[in-house]
Amino acid sequence: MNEKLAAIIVHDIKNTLGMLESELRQMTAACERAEALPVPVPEASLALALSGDESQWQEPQAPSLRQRAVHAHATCLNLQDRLVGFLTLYKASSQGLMPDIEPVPPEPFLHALLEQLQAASPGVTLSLDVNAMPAVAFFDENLIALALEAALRNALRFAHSRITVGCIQHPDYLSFTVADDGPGLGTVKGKNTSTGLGMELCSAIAVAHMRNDRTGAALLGNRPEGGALFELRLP
Amino acid sequence: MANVSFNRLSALRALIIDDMPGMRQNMRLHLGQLGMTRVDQAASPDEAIQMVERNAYDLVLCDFNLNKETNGQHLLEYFRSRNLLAESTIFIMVTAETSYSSVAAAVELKPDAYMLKPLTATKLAERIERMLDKQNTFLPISQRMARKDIPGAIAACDALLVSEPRWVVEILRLKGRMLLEQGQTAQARVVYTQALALRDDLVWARLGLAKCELIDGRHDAAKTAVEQMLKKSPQYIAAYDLLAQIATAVGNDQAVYDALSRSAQIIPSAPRSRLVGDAAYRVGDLTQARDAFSQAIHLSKSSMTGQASDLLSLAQVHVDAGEPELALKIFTAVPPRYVGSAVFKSSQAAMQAQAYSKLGDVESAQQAYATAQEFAAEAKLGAPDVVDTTSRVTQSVLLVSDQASRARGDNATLALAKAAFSVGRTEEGAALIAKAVKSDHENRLLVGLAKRVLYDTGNHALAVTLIDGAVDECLALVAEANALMRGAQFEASLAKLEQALDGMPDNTGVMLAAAQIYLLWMSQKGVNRDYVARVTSYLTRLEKLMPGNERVSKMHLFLRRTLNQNNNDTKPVPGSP
Repeated sequence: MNEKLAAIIVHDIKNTLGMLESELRQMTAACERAEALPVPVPEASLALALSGDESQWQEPQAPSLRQRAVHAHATCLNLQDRLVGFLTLYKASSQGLMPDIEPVPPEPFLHALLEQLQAASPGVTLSLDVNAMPAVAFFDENLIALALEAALRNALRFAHSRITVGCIQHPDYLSFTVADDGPGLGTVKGKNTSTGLGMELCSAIAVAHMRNDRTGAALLGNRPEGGALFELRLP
Repeated sequence: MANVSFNRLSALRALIIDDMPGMRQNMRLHLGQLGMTRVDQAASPDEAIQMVERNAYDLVLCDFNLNKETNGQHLLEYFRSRNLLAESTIFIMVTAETSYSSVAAAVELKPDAYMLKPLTATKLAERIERMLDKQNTFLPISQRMARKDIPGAIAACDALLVSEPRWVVEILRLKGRMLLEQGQTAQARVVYTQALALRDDLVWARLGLAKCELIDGRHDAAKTAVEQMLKKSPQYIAAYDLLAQIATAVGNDQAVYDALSRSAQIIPSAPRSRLVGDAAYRVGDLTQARDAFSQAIHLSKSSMTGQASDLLSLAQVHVDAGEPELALKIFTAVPPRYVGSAVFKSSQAAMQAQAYSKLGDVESAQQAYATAQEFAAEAKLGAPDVVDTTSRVTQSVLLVSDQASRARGDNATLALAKAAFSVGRTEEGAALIAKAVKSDHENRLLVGLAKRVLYDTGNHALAVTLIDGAVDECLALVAEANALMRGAQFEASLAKLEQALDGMPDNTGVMLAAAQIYLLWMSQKGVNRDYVARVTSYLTRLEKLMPGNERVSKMHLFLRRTLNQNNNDTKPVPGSP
């Protein structure tokens, strides 16, 4: 299948997925409202009780209907992001990306990014390292959001309990970092399950941030104290 | 925390513009999640224009891909050019792909933010919050700007530069723009150099330095600076506009045309094609003019962003190019919304008169000319306020388009003059030409077009007496008034200018002189209520005719100071009757 056709198909799927996302969002909201009602038997337990499946009925940790809706919604959002990532990569290879570099205050920008992903991943704490963070930095915030989302989703697959995001201005480049407390690179057996799409997307976005013949880079390595470290360097 | 911020958002009144019903519904849900209940929807650009004309929105969410003719960027430029959106309205462009970034990187007029689909309520909330924070931060500046207190606004920038490091780049940009508008190039250079020290590839700061050169009259240096900038950022539209502005300043119409047509190739749009058409017509390139106006009509077809002037311009090009049949054909399919305008009907009949006359149909030509005169009288052509300022493209300091729009407004008078000459009414034609030139003798483009009419109609001989005569008459009046004022004969000087304004009510040079003398009079002899009313009305008109003019804003400030001074002086003394 040629890339152009693939892009058209992805685009088409993305629109339908948008509808699905909004339905799941409404469903999540409906579940939240239902949970808030003073009903003695939670909806999920009631459904399970009626189904007569005792093995699940006995399970106290069974996810509620709300939790399942939240999870489905998060999965859908993840899928949407991947499709946007694919389209962005396609554009980078066919026409090249042209970033719109503007002054952006990194703190509120990163804060919103983390808040978004935190909601979908309750098991891991996402935190912001405001140490040495510049008040303002120059980058295309839509493209960098795509890259950091991909990096964060990747880190979430491996992190044990904690992911820290930072942004530091070095003399000749701006650095975004995503550090996790997982096992680090080259230690997990199943690591080849990744398609590499996320890293490729990050590289394409970093390279597109060109300034006076210097381009950015996306790096992945291990932290001395353990865990993986992703870094996005922009000139 | 989220709940607190949602409360601020829930009060906003929003408009969603998207051609796909599912997408509108989706965005509506997101806004609903943020607590917004006053949310309108528009399915097409025309529907959006109607809603924006009727209601005041705090937030506009607009999809970039609307239909074949109009995209979100066109719509944004249309709104801003007609001042349909309040300064505080947050306009967010929503796009399906990253392709909009290439548009955003090139245009001068940007939305407040643009966001990639899929949108989520959280992402929207963050972006809107950030825009609201920025508005709050900038309040000390924007309030002073609204009062036209530019020095105060510049001082507010200096205070915020210290206290708000997060917005330092935007503050520098705004400060630079205000200094440029005030003609304070030395300080503007300092600001742009400061910005470039933060980041050496800020195109607007490089362009700002080039604008300083232009204002200081160093045209070659300005041109070199822009050309250098374009080597690195060949897509940056505003740079071509500045090149056109430099070319206008040195009177090189061909270079104006070249610069504008380069920019129209980068981002085609009806307003850009219109400017290219005007420029091509001025250099006498009828083929390019025809293509450009056809393009403008095509790009705004079946949309409210279309303009009657495009049809008239194209018809004039056809007549001049010896294609009268094509000119007449244009008027067989006029969109109904143009037909109500007497100005349009007058110009249409004037074009028809010229076309019939070229075809040798004298009777139809005479008839059409009579119709043109009738509607011209109804529209009070040449009287104040019929100037078509709406066709001005929204470039903050684009002199070219300012002059072009005024010249285009006076086009109705010139078209009528041309029709008069074509049916042999030479005297009437000459009177109309003189009237048009007197309305704005300082407008080089208008004077050029008036000369063109005389040459095209074989009246070369009249050019010197009519046009130079009209210009000289204006200059002489202003000089006389100035002399009287220097001799401390204020009243006589004012009478002279008032008399001049009776004959040429839209002449900006005379109006400026009159406003200045009234202000001087009051600064010495105290406030006169009648004079305040006159100055205010002149300044309001001048503001419309030459937006952003430095002299006009200085006079505004001077008037306010005079009035304040007067208030302080005449405070009732306690105990006095």
